[in-house]
Amino acid sequence: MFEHPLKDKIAWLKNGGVIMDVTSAEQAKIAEAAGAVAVMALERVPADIRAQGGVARMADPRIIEEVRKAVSIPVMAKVRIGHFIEARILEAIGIDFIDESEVLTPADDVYHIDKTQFRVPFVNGARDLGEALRRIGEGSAMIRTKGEAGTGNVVEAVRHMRQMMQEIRKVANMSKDELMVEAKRLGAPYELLLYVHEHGRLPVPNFAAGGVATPADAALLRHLGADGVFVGSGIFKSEHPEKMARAIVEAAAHYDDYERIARLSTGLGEPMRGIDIDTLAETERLSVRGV
Amino acid sequence: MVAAIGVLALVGAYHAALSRLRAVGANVQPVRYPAALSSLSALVVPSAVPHALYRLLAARDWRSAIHAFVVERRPLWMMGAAALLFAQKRPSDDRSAPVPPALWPILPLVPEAAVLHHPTTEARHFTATLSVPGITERYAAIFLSAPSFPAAGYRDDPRRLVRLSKFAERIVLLEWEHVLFTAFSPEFSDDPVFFRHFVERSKRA
Repeated sequence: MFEHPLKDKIAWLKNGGVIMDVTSAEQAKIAEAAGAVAVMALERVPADIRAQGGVARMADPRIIEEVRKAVSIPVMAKVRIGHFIEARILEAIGIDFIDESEVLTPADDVYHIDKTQFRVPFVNGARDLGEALRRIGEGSAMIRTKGEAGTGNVVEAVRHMRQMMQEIRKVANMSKDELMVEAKRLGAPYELLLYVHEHGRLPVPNFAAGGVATPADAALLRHLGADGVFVGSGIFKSEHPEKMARAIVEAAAHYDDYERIARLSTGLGEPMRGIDIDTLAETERLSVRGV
Repeated sequence: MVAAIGVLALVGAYHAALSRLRAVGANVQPVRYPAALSSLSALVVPSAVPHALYRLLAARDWRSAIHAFVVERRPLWMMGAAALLFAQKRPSDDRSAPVPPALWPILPLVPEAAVLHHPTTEARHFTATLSVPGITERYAAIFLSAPSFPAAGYRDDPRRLVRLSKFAERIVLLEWEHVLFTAFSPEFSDDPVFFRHFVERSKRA
């Protein structure tokens, strides 16, 4: 076991904040100035990955290094599900956080990375409580809803957050002697389910991701129980990225101040053009990868 | 009922700070809007990514509300990198600098551009044992991208000082008058000694 004794704590520093996808040093600086708690360094944002197709892999370390030099906030990067060598590469270059992401093409269609073997913390996507606890059991220090990345459509993120929170409330209200059967049903480690039962929440921060495109989307997901928000394509595919980035940060923090969110939503220009989820074929859905 | 201790709950480790304070019996309240500050006996600013905290607190209503809190000399505890918003300005400060600009420069400390690293392992996240006069002889302090304040740059009226602790020639704890600063993040420690100390102090104030 080489688990970093502090890595599970680092994720909590981001609580309440917004993590933004960036593809260049310039975009990273915009994100930092807007108040992002971290940036996700990528070669292509999810909307472009979706549009261009092909195999999506870990970003060139050169891009990640450019982003790291440009900002002082933590820098994250994505690896393919199950690709522990990509994760070792990112760990070797000193990345702050790794996202084992369904947005990239999975390298392993059965197993995820054993994240307990790494010093660097990981974030994983999940659609429900069972999936979230399986990833935490593998060593993930942060969970995010999968949503449907690159669509600019928040419906799947809402569905996944509602599902997760409903299941957490159900487990919190169960009798303790019902937990083992529930653990079997969810396919989740019993000890982690016991934590949820006792605390009424996940043992790690639970962010929302996948389709967030406006300040109102960010506030909606905070209301539904998200500890923070990832914004992928929604900022740098909008008409005014700087204004959109600042507005989403403020809306995520002040999610129940509706007058403020109204002001933040005014004059932002065109948000990212969205995709109706129902028009996606099953094979085009990223959220079904790596469950 | 004793007036509540507020925990700034916009971004950062506020869940942990709230639960640690509750565990030592404090009446606590998460604070998400400036108006809530007026009814509090004390304020805790938990560890957070400083640029994000700066962006959220730079708004005029937060600036004036926390300024009033400071002027009224109500107890204030800043943890981890959140303290950068209360430090002295560096000559080159701007919004894109490694250290965000100070909003309330009350700490008599000037930060370095880099975070505090462990002197031998070079790690940015590490644990170190501290001795803090009058509070604890042995405390396992958790440093998570902590701010770095060189001890050599510290200048202040000694009559204001209550206690000070150093690690690797950096000031990692400073208590004077109504202010407590910890470069480490007590929210993540199972040792409640600093939370007890702050609650007692707030009651006396």
